[in-house]
Parts: sequence; C-alpha cells; structure tokens
Amino acid sequence: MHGGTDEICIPCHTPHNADASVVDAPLWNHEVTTANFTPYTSTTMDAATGQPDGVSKLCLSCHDGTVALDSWGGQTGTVFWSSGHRDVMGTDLTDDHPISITYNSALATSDGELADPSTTNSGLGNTIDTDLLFGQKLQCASCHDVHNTQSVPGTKLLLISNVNSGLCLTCHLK
Amino acid sequence: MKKLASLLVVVAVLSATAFAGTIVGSAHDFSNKNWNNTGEICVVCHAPHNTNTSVTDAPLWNHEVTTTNFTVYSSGTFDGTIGQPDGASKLCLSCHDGTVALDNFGGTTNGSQFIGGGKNLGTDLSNDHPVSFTYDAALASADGEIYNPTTQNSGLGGTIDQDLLISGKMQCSSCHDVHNTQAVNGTKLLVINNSGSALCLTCHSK
Ligand code: HEC
Ligand code: HEC
Ligand code: HEC
Ligand code: HEC
Ligand code: HEC
Ligand code: HEC
Ligand code: HEC
Repeated sequence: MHGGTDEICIPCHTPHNADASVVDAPLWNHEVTTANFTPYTSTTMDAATGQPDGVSKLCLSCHDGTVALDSWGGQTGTVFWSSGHRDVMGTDLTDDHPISITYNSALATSDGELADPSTTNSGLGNTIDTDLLFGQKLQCASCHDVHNTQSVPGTKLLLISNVNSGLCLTCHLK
Repeated sequence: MKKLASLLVVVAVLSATAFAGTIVGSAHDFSNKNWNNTGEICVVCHAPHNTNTSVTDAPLWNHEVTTTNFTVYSSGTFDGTIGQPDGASKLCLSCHDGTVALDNFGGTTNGSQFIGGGKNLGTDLSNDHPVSFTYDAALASADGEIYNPTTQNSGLGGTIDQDLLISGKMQCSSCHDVHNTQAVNGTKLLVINNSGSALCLTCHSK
C-alpha cells in the first residue's frame, strides 16, 4: 500500500481519531466514498436494495475508483487504479452481485429458492447469519475476507471455495 | 420469486416427489465439461462482478449474448405482437441458437464448442412455439381460446401471469426451468408435466 509507511493496517484502521461516520466501521482510517451508486435491480429480485452501507461502503472506498488508494489518515492521495481494471467496481453496481440487502428468514420464504440464513449451516461452523452476514445484511465481506486470514488459498479472498459453485450454493437452493 | 414460495406450499401439501431438486447433475451442470475449466456450475451463465447488463431482466449475466436476427413465429391466426426474442428467451438462445460458442463466457470470445442436435433451435424460430410477446387479458379475449392469464390458475399456486410469465411476457422459461429446481422429473426441464398435454392446456382452452 502506498503512502510512505511500512505498516499494514494503517491505510484502513487507526487506533485513534478514527472515522465513525459509517455504521460498523472498525476504527476506520481511509477516506470514505461519497459516490451516489446505482444498485443492482431486476424484476425477479425480492430483496430491497439501496445505497451501499456498512462494510461494503468501506470496501467501495477503494474499490469504486473514486477515492485515491492513499487517501488515509486525513491525507488526500493521488494513486488510483487504471480505468477498466478488474478490481474496480465503479459506481454502477448493476453488474455486481447485490449487496447491503437484508437477508433473513422472511426473504428466504418469499424467494423460495434461498436457504434460511438463521437455520442453515454455512459450512464454516455456524449459520449463514452468524458466519456470513452483518446485522442480517449481505455485504462484500459475506463472500470475501479482506484480511485473508480465513480465505481459501488461491481464490480472490473467498471465504468459501467456489469449486462446483460451493460458495453460491451455500445460499442459493438451485 | 413469489411464485416459488406459493409453489413450495402446494408441493408440500400435494406430494414431496413433485419437487425435482437441483441444478447439480442436471442438463445445465457443466462443471465437468472439457470446455469449462473453472470447475464451477453457475459461472457459465452468472458471475458476481463485471457482468453483461445489455439484456433487460438478465440476472448477473456472464455468457456472451447472441446478436442473431431471428426469423420469428408468424401465422394467420396468431393474435400476439411478436418481435425479436428478448429477456430470458434471448439468454437461452445465447446457447440454443447455435451461433454463440458454449464456452464464450466470462469475457472469452474465441470458444469452439457449439450446441448440437435437437437442442439447437437455430435462428429460424418460425417452427417453435412463439416467445417474447405480451400475453394479457386483451390477447385472451382477442383469441377466444386461451385463458385470461391474470385470473386463470396455473396449477402451481398462483395465476398464469404470476407463475409462468415474466413481466407479462411469454418466454422460454414460461415452460422450462433452467435450474431444474422446480422442473418435473424426467421431462425436458418442464415446469408442468405435459402428459395428457397438461402443460399446453394450462393456457390453451382447447
Ligand atoms: C484494505 C483495508 C484493510 C486492511 C489493510 C486491514 N483491515 Fe481490518 N478491516 C477492514 C474492513 C473493511 C473491516 C470490516 C469488515 C470485516 O470485518 O470483514 C475490518 C475489520 C477489522 C477488525 C474487526 C473485525 C474482525 O475481523 O475482528 C479488526 C480487529 C481488524 N480489522 C484489524 C486489522 C488489523 C490488525 C490489520 C493489520 C494487520 C487490518 N485490520 C488491516 C479493512 C482492512
Ligand atoms: C485501502 C483500500 C482498500 C480497501 C478499503 C479494500 N481494498 Fe480490496 N484491494 C485493494 C487493492 C489496492 C487491491 C489490489 C491488491 C493487489 O493486486 O496487489 C485489492 C484487492 C482486492 C481483491 C482481489 C484479491 C486478488 O487476489 O486479486 C479483493 C477480492 C478485494 N480487494 C476485496 C475487498 C473487500 C471485500 C473489501 C472490504 C471488506 C476491500 N477489498 C477493501 C484496496 C482496498
Ligand atoms: C456473492 C458473493 C460476492 C459478493 C457479495 C462480492 N463478491 Fe467480489 N467476488 C466474488 C467471487 C466469487 C469472485 C471471484 C471471481 C473469479 O474468480 O472470477 C470475486 C472477485 C472480486 C474481485 C477481484 C476482481 C474480479 O472481478 O475477479 C474484487 C476486487 C472483488 N470481488 C471485490 C468485491 C467488492 C468490493 C464487493 C462489494 C461491493 C464484492 N466483491 C462482493 C464474490 C462476491
Ligand atoms: C451469502 C449468501 C449468498 C451467496 C454466497 C451468494 N448469493 Fe446470490 N444472492 C443472495 C441473496 C440473499 C440474493 C437476493 C435474492 C432476492 O432477493 O431475490 C442474491 C441474488 C442473486 C442474484 C440476482 C437474483 C435476481 O433475482 O435478480 C443472482 C443472479 C445471484 N445471487 C447469483 C449468485 C451467484 C452466481 C453466486 C456465487 C458466485 C451467489 N449468488 C452467491 C445470497 C447469496
Ligand atoms: C445454463 C445457464 C444457467 C446456469 C448454469 C445457472 N443459471 Fe441462474 N439463471 C439463468 C437464466 C436464463 C435466468 C433467468 C431466467 C429465469 O429466471 O428462469 C437465471 C436466473 C437466476 C436467478 C434469478 C431468478 C431466480 O430464479 O431466483 C438466480 C438467483 C440464479 N439464476 C442463480 C443461479 C445460481 C446460484 C446458479 C448456480 C448454482 C445458476 N443460477 C446457474 C441461467 C442459468
Ligand atoms: C409453450 C411451451 C414451451 C416454450 C415456450 C418453449 N419450450 Fe422448449 N420444449 C417444450 C416442451 C413441451 C418440450 C419437450 C418436447 C418433448 O419432450 O418431445 C421442449 C423441449 C425443449 C428442448 C429439448 C429438445 C430435445 O430434443 O431434447 C430444448 C433444448 C428446448 N425445449 C428449448 C427451448 C428454448 C430455448 C425455448 C425458447 C426459445 C423454448 N424451449 C420454449 C415446451 C416449450
Ligand atoms: C404459458 C401459456 C402457454 C402454454 C403453456 C402453451 N401455450 Fe401455446 N400459446 C400461448 C399463447 C398466449 C399463444 C398466442 C395465441 C395467439 O395469439 O393466437 C400461443 C400460441 C400457440 C400456437 C400458435 C397459434 C396460432 O394461432 O398460430 C400453437 C400451435 C400453440 N400455442 C400450441 C401450444 C402447445 C402444443 C403447447 C404445449 C406444448 C402450448 N402451446 C403451450 C400460450 C401458451
């Protein structure tokens, strides 16, 4: 990471003077995106989408491409991803898996082809709700482990291997 | 999909065996095909990021989309207004018209595997059941021998409109379940068993 430090955590966290503007942001130190996103929509989707919140908003504070990677600790950075880079989601999220949606038993019932998150095992030791959701919400970190401590080696920081679409089939009863 | 919730209830009441199950091992499980080196199932059609949003109602679409100009169904007695295939039908035809390689997904455009045999509908759809047209109460009364989709029960728990149409339109997925989750066992992924032509008679009052 850029910014003239050899610390690992500092672009994202600080022990003091952290930014508490985003709900669920743990001692956040990176400039937070102010972009107005276009969320995923479709006629078959049952969940209500809105602007990204919580953990996803933190990820998008680098991965939407509008905030410099090295804008942390109060400094305004200059380093951006090149345009069209795969790691950049942009501000149009209509081509991305829906995030910041409430995924609870009621949604599972109305959809009919989703596992009940409060009773279904995630395969990681507990229920989908406990292991993968944040305040009952599906976020970027439901699929990804930003710290790479729990993720499956050789994947894009995935919490669950997607061989045979195992990640997808954890939630989708297809 | 609200229809599925009501279907689940009906299935639970009627019998457990009517519930087909899963895409795993079905006609659309390509995880061990030699043209798919990902070892995954969904990825041939869907991805979590960088997907194709050019087709309306295409959920996180990851397969190259057909650009064919189709010959559509026509007949002297057909009352619907039909145009080029759209929505879900266009997605199905992105493998089933035989012009797009099966392995053209995830940005790959130089694939070499094509669908064969009776599964290839080709680009001439004049010999296939019409798709991608609005089926509403007005069409039903103009025709006289099809049911009003907004009041007639599909047999799956709701009306024809709720259970079989997508945004009021007849599509391939009105008759087929691509994921095999609700399809009747032993059929060509049909959402309603066609013995005694029950599928046809769901909409046609013949
Ligand atoms: C690229 C940004 C980034 C870096 C670098 C980073 N974190 Fe995090 N961290 C996050 C985000 C985003 C969350 C909230 C999402 C989550 O918990 O998955 C988080 C959550 C946490 C949490 C609370 C949740 C938990 O997992 O216990 C702790 C503690 C934490 N980080 C510690 C660290 C430490 C220590 C380092 C350095 C060794 C570090 N992080 C490096 C982004 C980062
Ligand atoms: C401080 C900026 C920053 C934040 C915050 C951040 N990332 Fe990243 N992320 C990066 C950068 C930079 C890379 C590219 C690293 C590389 O290629 O070496 C990256 C790479 C990734 C990758 C690809 C890994 C790979 O192996 O190619 C994933 C997946 C990812 N991030 C997910 C997340 C998620 C999920 C969050 C939030 C929980 C998050 N990131 C938060 C900067 C960030
Ligand atoms: C439903 C699960 C899921 C969610 C939610 C999700 N991702 Fe991903 N993401 C994946 C998978 C699976 C891959 C790997 C794709 C591959 O290997 O081709 C991936 C890949 C990535 C990559 C690597 C680039 C790429 O396209 O392969 C980045 C960066 C990334 N995700 C960031 C994010 C961010 C940021 C969010 C939230 C806005 C997010 N992801 C939400 C499943 C998810
Ligand atoms: C943590 C649980 C979870 C995981 C893992 C997950 N999904 Fe989802 N997905 C959901 C939920 C919840 C929805 C919203 C469904 C709804 O409201 O209809 C959704 C929505 C979708 C949609 C849009 C549905 C529509 O009607 O437009 C698609 C397509 C999809 N997921 C595919 C995937 C694929 C492919 C994967 C694997 C890469 C995956 N999902 C992984 C929970 C998950
Ligand atoms: C052969 C292509 C194909 C494969 C493989 C496939 N899908 Fe789909 N999927 C479609 C099409 C076409 C639609 C839209 C038409 C429809 O809903 O019938 C769709 C719709 C969806 C939807 C939204 C509507 C709904 O049913 O809730 C979700 C969610 C979904 N797929 C998830 C998945 C998951 C998860 C997998 C892997 C386990 C998967 N699909 C595998 C073609 C596919
Ligand atoms: C009105 C209902 C209906 C519609 C609409 C429909 N189908 Fe079918 N389809 C059927 C029935 C019934 C069968 C089974 C025929 C049999 O068993 O001989 C079938 C069979 C098939 C088969 C299997 C052929 C074989 O030889 O194995 C394929 C592939 C197929 N349909 C694709 C499609 C596609 C693609 C579309 C949209 C362009 C579509 N269908 C629209 C009813 C329909
Ligand atoms: C989901 C409803 C639905 C199902 C199921 C269905 N059809 Fe149709 N079909 C229609 C509608 C609507 C039309 C358009 C009628 C019109 O405008 O004349 C149509 C048109 C036709 C036509 C052309 C009529 C003409 O005037 O040219 C034929 C033939 C036909 N269907 C046969 C079948 C057969 C055989 C089956 C069973 C395999 C079937 N249909 C299943 C709704 C359905």
